[in-house]
Amino acid sequence: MHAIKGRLNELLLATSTEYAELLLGVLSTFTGIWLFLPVCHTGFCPWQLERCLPETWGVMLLLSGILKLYGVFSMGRLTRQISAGIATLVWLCLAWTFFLAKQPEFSVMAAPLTTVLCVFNALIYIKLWMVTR
Amino acid sequence: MNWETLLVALLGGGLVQGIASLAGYFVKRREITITDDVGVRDSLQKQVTGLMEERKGLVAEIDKLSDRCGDIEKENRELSRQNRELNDEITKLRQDSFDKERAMQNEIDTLKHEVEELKNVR
Repeated sequence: MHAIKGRLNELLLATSTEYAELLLGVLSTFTGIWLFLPVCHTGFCPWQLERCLPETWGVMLLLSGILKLYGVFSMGRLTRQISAGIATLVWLCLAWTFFLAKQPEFSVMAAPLTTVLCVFNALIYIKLWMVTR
Repeated sequence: MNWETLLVALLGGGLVQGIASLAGYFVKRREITITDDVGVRDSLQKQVTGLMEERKGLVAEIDKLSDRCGDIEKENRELSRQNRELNDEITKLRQDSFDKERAMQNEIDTLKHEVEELKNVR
């Protein structure tokens, strides 16, 4: 039990999240670009569009993705943490609008997906905060 | 972006930051506990002493190997010198052998010539 606890502590604090961040950075960048395209607007209902335009999320996701990739490549811990923070907020807001959206066929897939991505980014943010304190 | 979205962002961000701060606090406290643990410190001290002893042994072994390496180099130099001398000798012997062979061949040719002449006279 003690060994498992030690190993868990090691896994949570001593392992690198850079690979996951690289993949999340690529995903954020491409999702950000996708949100600029008119084809994605069919997935958003008027209730969502009156709360926030997809382009706004697109800009923020693009910014977070590029920051994440820059942080991973330049090994900048603070850049990675800021980008994880931005991504958490954007995915959180997107998840919120999808959960409350009145367009079930798209939201049923998008809502859990955005929640998972929000949780991933939040966990990375928490880990980076913990190890540098 | 309307106020509801902003509220969600603020609450969500605050929650994540709160969890991070709390987790960071616990991790810090855990580290302090480990550092203050006398047993762990003694065990680390013992490990350090053991490693220092091991280092001493390794240094002595490196010195011994270094000496042995010097001896082998000296031996190698001596053997190279002997090898050069033997090569010179072999070259000299080959030259001698070649000269002698040439001389004998000339003698044989002369004798053959004389035999032919004698046959003709007869």
